[in-house]
Amino acid sequence: MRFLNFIKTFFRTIILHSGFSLLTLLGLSIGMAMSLLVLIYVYYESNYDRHWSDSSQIYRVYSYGEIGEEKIRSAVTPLPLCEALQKLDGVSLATNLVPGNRKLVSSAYIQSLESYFYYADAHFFEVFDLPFLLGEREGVLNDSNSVVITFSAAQRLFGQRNPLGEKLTLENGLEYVVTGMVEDVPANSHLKFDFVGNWLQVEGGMRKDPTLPHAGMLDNWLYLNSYTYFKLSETGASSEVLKQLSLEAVQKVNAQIAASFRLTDQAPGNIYLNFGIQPIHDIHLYSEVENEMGTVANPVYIMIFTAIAFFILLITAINFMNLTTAKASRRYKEVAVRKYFGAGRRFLVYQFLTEAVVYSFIALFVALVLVELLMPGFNLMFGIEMTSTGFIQQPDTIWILVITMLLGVLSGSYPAMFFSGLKPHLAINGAMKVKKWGVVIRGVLVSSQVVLSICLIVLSIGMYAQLRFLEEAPHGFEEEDAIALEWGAMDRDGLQKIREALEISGLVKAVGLAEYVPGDDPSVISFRQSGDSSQVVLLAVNYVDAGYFEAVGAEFVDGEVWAENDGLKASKVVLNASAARFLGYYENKQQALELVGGRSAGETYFFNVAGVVKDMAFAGVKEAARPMVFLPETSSNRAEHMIISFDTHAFEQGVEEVHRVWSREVPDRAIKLKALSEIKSGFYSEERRFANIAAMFSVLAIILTVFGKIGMAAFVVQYHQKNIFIRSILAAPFFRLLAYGLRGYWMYVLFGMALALPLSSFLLHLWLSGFKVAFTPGWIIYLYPVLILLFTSIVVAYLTGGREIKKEAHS
Amino acid sequence: MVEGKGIRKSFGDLEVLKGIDVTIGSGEIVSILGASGAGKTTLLQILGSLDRPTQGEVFVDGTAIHTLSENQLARFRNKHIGFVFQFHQLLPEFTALENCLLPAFIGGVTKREAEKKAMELLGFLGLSQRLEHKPAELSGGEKQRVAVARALINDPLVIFADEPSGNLDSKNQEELMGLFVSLRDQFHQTFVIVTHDEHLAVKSDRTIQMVDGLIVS
Repeated sequence: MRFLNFIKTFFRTIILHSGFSLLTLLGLSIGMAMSLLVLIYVYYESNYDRHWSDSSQIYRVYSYGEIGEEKIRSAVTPLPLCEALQKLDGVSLATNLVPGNRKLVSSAYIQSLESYFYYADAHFFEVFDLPFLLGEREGVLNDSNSVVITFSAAQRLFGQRNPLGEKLTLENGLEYVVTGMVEDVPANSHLKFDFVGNWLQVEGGMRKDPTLPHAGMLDNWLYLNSYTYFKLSETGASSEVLKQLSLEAVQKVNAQIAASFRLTDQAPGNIYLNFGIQPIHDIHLYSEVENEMGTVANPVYIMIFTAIAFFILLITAINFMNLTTAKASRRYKEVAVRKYFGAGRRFLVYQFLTEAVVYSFIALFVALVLVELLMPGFNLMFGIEMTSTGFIQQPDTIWILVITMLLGVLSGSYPAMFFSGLKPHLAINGAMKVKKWGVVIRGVLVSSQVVLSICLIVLSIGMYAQLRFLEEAPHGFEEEDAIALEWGAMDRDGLQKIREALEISGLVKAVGLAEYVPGDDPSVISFRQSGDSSQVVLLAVNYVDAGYFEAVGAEFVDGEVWAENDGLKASKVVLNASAARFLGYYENKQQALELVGGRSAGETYFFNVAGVVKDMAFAGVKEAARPMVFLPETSSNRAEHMIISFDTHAFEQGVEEVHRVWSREVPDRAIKLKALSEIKSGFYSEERRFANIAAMFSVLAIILTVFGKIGMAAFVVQYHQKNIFIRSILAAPFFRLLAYGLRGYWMYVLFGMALALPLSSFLLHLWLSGFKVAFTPGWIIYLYPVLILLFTSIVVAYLTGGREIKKEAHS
Repeated sequence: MVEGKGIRKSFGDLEVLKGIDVTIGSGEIVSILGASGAGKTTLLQILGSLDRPTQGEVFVDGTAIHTLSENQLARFRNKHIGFVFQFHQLLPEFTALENCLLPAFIGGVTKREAEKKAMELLGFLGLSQRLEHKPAELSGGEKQRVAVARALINDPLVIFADEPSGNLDSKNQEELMGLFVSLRDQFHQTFVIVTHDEHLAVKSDRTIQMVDGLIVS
């Protein structure tokens, strides 16, 4: 009853002071929406892999150990591990997943280059129970040639057709029959696959022909190649499983070491390998192993974001207190009358708390609408796929209500104290004086908000400037007007036809072939330097043809590209500048490189250096370029990409031509190409994301600061109320009144600015110090935030201050 | 009904009340007269339990209100004391009826009971046609009558009025005083009125003249 009455009072008050109340509500809503978005993001990041049934019972095994000097911590494990695991007490089900290379997959209708083809044993979908859209989970991978595909893979290969029973042919000759179609793997899973084929078919092939690549992995405990998972039985304890696993592993691994190294004269030295387990829930945030299937997140960011969410809420609550008490004198009389008629302190505290809580819940509603509207932009910015429904349908929703309630109570606490303590007989006659410390508190609030805004604006401008600086830094290749066409492992004739057709089109400047293009992670091979047989050096290797260097716009600093076909066994190579330095090329230009461990024993391959090119930033200029050797590509070391650079201004026309030639020459295969400029901008997606986030928080900070300033402006005018009244009677002009009424306001705004400039400069330099190369910030960076803050301060001063002064002058 | 013994009140160095003894009987209309700054409003605040004396005792219907805690005092004020102000002090966002109900709600009276009582009172004051009007839609006299109804809603022992007619024209002033008299006659209501209007004061049962913090007659 009383509560309803409070709510009624609340709505009447809102309507009476509608302008200011709506402002208060808006401030609260924006703050809540932003912190909700951030919390939803935190929730999303910390709920990876929770969608599987009994997900808390599922563990992944990882490998750790040491081989010589090299420490190993890897997500991949030996293949025989799975079978051994299945026999342990406490394990209800073990399964493994073997990654396949990127490969060409053909259906009866189309061919497609697929990156996420995996092999698994028959139990995989019992552990990871993705919903089946077609087919039955039970025994879906029982046949050795069965494959389960995701919905989007089915769309690519079969269009609208029913994929069940359809045949898929892989480029390695294997044939699979589709036995099930599952939903796509949710984005917040550490797993990432489009095809899961039965491993037995691959294994069968390897058993028949042990010379097949990777055939050695089958029974080898030192060959790390597959992901292994297990599900605990209901009574199982993970610690018990780990104990048994370690015992078993030591035995098997030691036997393997003994067996493997007896064959060679090399001493095993310091070699050991063991296994750990990790709950799949922890993989995304806490896994510290290499060879992850997807990217993992840093838990520090999650903590920072949680802190940010609560910080926004705190500022929102403070702004609320500021705004609701800024125009306190308007409510003095109401409170005084209530006190006259016997409203006790507690009654008034309840009244103001109820008001704030109701405010919060209305704001929550508005905030949820805002969240829904902002979500797509937010997803784009963070590069994720979250939905509010996933969050809001969870049992954790209760937390939203609890937080809203707490926010209301927190926000209402100060107004409640403030109003319930006033002296009624003073308040009713308007003799209640606005206290000086109210100005000081609001001033400090405004100053700190100004500092926060300026720092964020400076940081975000600095981040964008640094992003541009990185993108414009020399990368060692020309990304303008060039594309990388993904070729895969097709026959050479088709490649040649496409190349010829493009060359006669007159649009193309150069065409080259390469195994790796910028953005790829090149494989590393060991070489011996001539004259030093003990020393083995590791170099990144890229198989390219002679046209490649012109096509990517590489610049030779010494020598030149090899002449075509020097012959296979004594060939010429090109080094990048880092490799030239690393190998001491300039001291001995005649040195030869010897490939260690060629495919067939007894043969050795020697290379001489033909030339040196500037370093190409394969992963962007943030990282030092690795020493790289460019070897002539041959039919056995297939270049998988064609780099095509077009004449200036012919880019779009050229890309069209490529599409046309492709659909003529390989009509049954989808084309895959990327502009080099797109690849390059991909290097800096992380920087771009953080710059966007900083920009988003800057905008939020500016908005929150505006609310703080509104409260301050309204309050100082009240503080000078009497003086303004007298001056207005003496016919002082409006702007004089405004200047007088806002004394103090400007002081705190300017103080905040003065404090923020050195601080923001420090923060920006701190951030930039984390980069290998960075731009030099100029003064203009600091000018923008100062102008923005000055502008908003003037607008608030004029609108709020002016409005309040007019009211005071006429009251 | 209301008794003050040796009331002194200082604000810092300034002594506003310098030892006041006063007794107001039940069903009496007493006017406190005096020039500005004589201390009459301060005395009213103290008798009305809104402020505490620096020294002295205050009894209302036998309760020593200077000994009550803040919360007890608020409850006591709600139940037993009514106020009428110079400016009506109605809450602008509420209707006449709702303004009148305010003290009853604070006291926890049920809505039905409180509304019944409020409608009776407003009817008695000739406002039955104005129940749903907001203060801005009422005349000055009407507003002050709503304020009187609000003061009466919890059947107080005594009503304190601070310059109740100060903001009214002479016709409304007469009417308001007449209303107080008839409330006294019909319901035996006690009134303590602070005013500097001699003309009004003569209609009360008794006047107390204050000069410089002391009662002189």
